[in-house]
Amino acid sequence: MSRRARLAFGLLALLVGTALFADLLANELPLAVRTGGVTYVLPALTKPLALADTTQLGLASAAEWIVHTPVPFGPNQTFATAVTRAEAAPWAPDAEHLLGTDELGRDVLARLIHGARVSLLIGFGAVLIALLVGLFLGVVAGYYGGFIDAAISRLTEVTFTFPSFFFFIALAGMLRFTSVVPLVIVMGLTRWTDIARLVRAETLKLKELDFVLAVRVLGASDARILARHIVPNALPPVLVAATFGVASAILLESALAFLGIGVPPPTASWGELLIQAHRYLVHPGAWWLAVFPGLAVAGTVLTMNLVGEALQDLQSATSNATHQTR
Amino acid sequence: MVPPMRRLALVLLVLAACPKKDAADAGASQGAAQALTPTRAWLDGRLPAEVTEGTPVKGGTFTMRVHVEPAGLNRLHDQMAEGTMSRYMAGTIYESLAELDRDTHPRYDLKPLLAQSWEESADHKTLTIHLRKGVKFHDGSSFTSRDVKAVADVVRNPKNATKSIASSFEDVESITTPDEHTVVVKWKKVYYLANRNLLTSLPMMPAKALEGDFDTLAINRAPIGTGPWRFVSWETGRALTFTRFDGYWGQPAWLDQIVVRFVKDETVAAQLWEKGEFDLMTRIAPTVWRSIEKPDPSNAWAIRGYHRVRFTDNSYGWVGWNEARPFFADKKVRRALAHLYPAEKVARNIDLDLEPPTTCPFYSEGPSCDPEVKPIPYDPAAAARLLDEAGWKDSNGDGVRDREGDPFQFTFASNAYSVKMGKLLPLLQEELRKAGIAMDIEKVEAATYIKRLRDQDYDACSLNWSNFDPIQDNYAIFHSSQTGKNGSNWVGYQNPEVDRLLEQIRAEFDDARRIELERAVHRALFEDQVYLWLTNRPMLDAVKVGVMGMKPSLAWYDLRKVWRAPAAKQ
Repeated sequence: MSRRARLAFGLLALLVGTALFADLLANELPLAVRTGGVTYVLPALTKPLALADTTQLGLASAAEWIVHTPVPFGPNQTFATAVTRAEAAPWAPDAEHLLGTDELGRDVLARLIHGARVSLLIGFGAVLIALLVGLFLGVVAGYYGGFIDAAISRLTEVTFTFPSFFFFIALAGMLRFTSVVPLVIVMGLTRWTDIARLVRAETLKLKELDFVLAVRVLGASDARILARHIVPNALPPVLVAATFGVASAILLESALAFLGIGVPPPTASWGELLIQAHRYLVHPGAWWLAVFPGLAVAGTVLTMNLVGEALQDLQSATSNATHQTR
Repeated sequence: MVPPMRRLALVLLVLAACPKKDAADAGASQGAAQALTPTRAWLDGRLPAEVTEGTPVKGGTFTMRVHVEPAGLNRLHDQMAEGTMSRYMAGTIYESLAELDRDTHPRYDLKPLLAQSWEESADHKTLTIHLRKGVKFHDGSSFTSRDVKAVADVVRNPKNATKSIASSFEDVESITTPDEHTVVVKWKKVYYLANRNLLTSLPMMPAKALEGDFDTLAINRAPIGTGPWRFVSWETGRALTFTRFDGYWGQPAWLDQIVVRFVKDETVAAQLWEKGEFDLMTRIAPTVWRSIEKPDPSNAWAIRGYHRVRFTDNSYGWVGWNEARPFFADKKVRRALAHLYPAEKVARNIDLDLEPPTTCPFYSEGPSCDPEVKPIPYDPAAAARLLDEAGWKDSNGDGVRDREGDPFQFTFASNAYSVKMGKLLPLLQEELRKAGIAMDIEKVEAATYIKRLRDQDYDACSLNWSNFDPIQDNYAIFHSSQTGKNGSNWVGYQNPEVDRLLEQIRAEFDDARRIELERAVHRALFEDQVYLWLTNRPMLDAVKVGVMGMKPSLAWYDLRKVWRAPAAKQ
């Protein structure tokens, strides 16, 4: 594996880790605390009712001992440090809020950490759905050919030519986006066309190859041929395309958030921070709202692109190896 | 594979987001900082007296920012009846028979404009209007009673898309024109605002120009009126230009030209404003308003270059609880929600202390609001008691109150473009969560939003009601007959007592008695917490130094009186 590939997968692991452990990285509740004679372990996860209305800063003075999360603020905790400040939020980065706060006094770092969860959920979720749909339609079209192929190919073309951005705006009016899930599903259902076309082409190639003809002669069913022989072989190039899809889904989320129809509030999302950044560009300037989420989006997109390239290199390396052994 | 260009673009995007740091900090001297301290009047948004002093001179162009571009300029048409531009065009391009007298704030008596005088019969059912003679339209034709009738007929024609204005003319029995300069209007029913509406809300257009398909009239793009300025051009997406009309019947306008610049985005508008592009900057965002107050050289352009205007409009924001939903049918619950609204936090952090709180569905500076009605204070303990009394208790210990097995969980539908709601709702959500109420937030695209409200297809919503006339009929908003498509009672409020009061008001011509009834309506509506009343939204504008004769009013600025001091002439 090249250094670049290792870097790519390292960054990806970091991102996924941030998303998975967001609750333990940035939370209004501590990792562990002993207060009022009771010890709470990981209240950040168990959310005991006794601590429902407390914060780490509030607990710190009353507790016997306390283990803070690395960022002692929750993503939706508003005006956590308002007492010590005279000016209206957003507050610039300082010792308390390392990356500053947004207009509701919410910690930008905490929102970025939790926003990673949303961005990755959208990116990977949408691509996973796209992958399932695209793989199925592509394989069926490529393998059976004829009328089925024509029908699926036309469907692909129609979906492909759909201006997905406007489609979302229209859809946001019809569907009720009160969680991320419908957004992910709709994104997935509009982005399978690239994958379907790629899979179809791969299938057309694969089904004529000797090993497929061989299993067919052995009397294997279509389902078995598709599932055991065609799909596994068509998958590697598709995965490369899918990683790029993750990147573009994350960008689309930011764009939708910018129009105010992305992830519903108060969910932390990088796009949502960027809309605020737009409002605070000059009067009053709040550069931290633009720079950090911007870096997060750009960094993630670059990471996914690096991962895609790394996968591509790995794949061509293996196929070269196969050619050589032949 | 990523094409290299795309990677580069990403890096550029991030770089572009970094703002330039003002180098001015370093160069600021003590003396400059002193001169930069804004005056009290500037901070409060009161125009200094010298703006309305001096001898007017002719000449100059006046450029203003408008935040919304209408689909067309025919304000009779439903799709073009956009409030802001309609208001700005009244008195500039178009004139009505009478206007609101800006000198009689806060009453706003009627003042003759295209009508020289009018008489009302004793039974209030007949209005005789005597038109001004010698008035010419911008196309050179004379203004006569025929034009008045044509405008009224177009509005009353059920085939035309004029619903928003036609409701004021449903009870017209007949409109006759005994001679060229007399119009007689007969009403089927008496209505206290009938004549006032008729006299002030109809922009006069030439009868000829109204012939043909109403949706595609030439005047929809190129209006023809009788006002002191005439239409020159409309560059869609950019600007409207008006120029002085030399055939105007009254005192000719001082300004040569008016340019309306359409700039929707508030950040872009603020940047253009800083560059000095606007003589009148409108709808300044509260955050911008506050950020330019610092006596810092980087704010010199605003502190030295502009007067600020903060003026309370007849407009209030409200939150509506859909009374068809089981949680909100109960008045106790609505009161509890008012106790949970963090008014002070919102005032300090979101409104930045610029918006006065209100409790009233009438003009807050007029006499129709009962001063005894006080806002419901933020008091979570009182809210908890009310919710318990209403039967909403957390019986299963999951942190959310419930009643008969139903959790108290609802969705707040908000206009996706509302900056204020975007900030306010997360705060409200936090307060409600602490009180055991689960609130989701749904952002709805603006075009669908009003439809959803009209269909009562929401749990909770928020909107602003604005009225340019200080006398306003709340029948359409709170009468039980006005739910759904009939009117604007979108929360589904029903109270026979309020119905009776609203009906009485409609036939009450005595101001003192009417005001008593209106105060009773105010008390009853507030007692029932039909809405969670938020604030009066002020007009936050800025006028360039050297632009004279500006004075805010409910009828907006009177541009006929505006002139440019010679030094500031372009």
